[in-house]
Amino acid sequence: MKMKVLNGAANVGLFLAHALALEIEAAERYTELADSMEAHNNVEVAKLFRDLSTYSAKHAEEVKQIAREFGALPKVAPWEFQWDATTESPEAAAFENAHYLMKPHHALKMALLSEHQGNNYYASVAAETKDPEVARLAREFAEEEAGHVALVRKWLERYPAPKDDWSDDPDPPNISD
Amino acid sequence: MDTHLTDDVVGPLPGDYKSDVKPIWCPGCGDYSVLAGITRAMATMGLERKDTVVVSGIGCSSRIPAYTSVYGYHTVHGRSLAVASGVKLARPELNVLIFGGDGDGFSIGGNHFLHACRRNVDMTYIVMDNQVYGMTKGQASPTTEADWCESKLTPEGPGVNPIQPVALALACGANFVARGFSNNPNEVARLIVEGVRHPGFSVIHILSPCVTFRPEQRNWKSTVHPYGREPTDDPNEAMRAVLEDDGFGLGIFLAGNRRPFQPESAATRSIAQIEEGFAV
Repeated sequence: MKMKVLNGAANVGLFLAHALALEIEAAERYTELADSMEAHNNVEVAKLFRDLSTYSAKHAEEVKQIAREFGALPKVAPWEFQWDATTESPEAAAFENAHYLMKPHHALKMALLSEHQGNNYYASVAAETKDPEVARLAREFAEEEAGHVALVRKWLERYPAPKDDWSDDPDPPNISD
Repeated sequence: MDTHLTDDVVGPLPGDYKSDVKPIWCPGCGDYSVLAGITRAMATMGLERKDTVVVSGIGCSSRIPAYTSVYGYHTVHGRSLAVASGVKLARPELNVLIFGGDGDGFSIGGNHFLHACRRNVDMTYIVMDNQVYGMTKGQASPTTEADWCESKLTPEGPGVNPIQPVALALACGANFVARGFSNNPNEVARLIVEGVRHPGFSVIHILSPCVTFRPEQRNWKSTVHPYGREPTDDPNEAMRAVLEDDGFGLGIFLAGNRRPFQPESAATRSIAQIEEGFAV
């Protein structure tokens, strides 16, 4: 059961398959985090994740449009994507870093990491590929991600790190006394 | 039910297999990632929703049928394997996947687990193990360590050794046995695809942290490691290897070659005839 791994820098089809998975998973993950925060009445963070999802979904739709013009994409199983630095697609915020009492600062730090990883992925493909069309697209997508990084940084200025007791819950789910 | 799932660019997408019901698990729960792995596996296989059934028992992880868009059956505590066996034996053409947790599968449903492994019906059982009863606010489960003292019910720990799900599955005759970790949903998807495609009863043990009642499980990401061996088709060899494993090795332990259980005889009575027998 030798596993194959497919490199997004190899050709346009594989690059677009990677880009589409990256953008769709990023948008879906932000939506799932927003839903999860709403279920726990963390309205402020839910709205932030919802806004981030809107931006990512817009980019996903742009990539999908480019893919449509390209034609049918190669079928790549989830474990065949070559992401290098991450086990999941690089822009999908990690579920395990969420907390029901998290503050906007934490949500934006999560988003900043994700957008950085997305930017790094595209930049590394642009540097590695020998295909000029892949290089052009990768540079373009990297620039878009750099814009997202700048946007999240700007939002972070409004939300400084909270006090250390941010996760204290006067009515915790785990009653130990 | 709508069966048209084909996207014009890449075919079925994981999102096609999600329902409109929003999960209510705690933020940070490993089950979110397992759900991502499940829907990615379904999309990879291009499963027809009308031909796919997910069955569950009771517990946090047993909420999966509500969150997927295929047919679902949220049954009673510990009985998911019995119900799923009935579904598969009556409708062998269906894809049957079962979801549940460690308490549902190894305590309340422990007896059914033994016999499902032994019987070897062609279906796939995904157990999300967080070593605690989370839905009832944090009691020791059959896989909890003997010295875990955080529950008021067992302030000095449960005091008995935990069940080893992978070893138990092998001992009872499961035909495909693997372990995954929720932090890597793409690998979870691969294990599910391999399990569904392998004939017979497949058991996929997923370590899925409960961040609310077992927050220390967030550290599992630095504890897990590759199992490091190629899968074998010899249950004895797999068992010997698993006995040396620390419970955190990830991969496929056994891809056996037992023939699945599937009676060949056709039904002798129609549903209407059976119902007549219950008429009052």
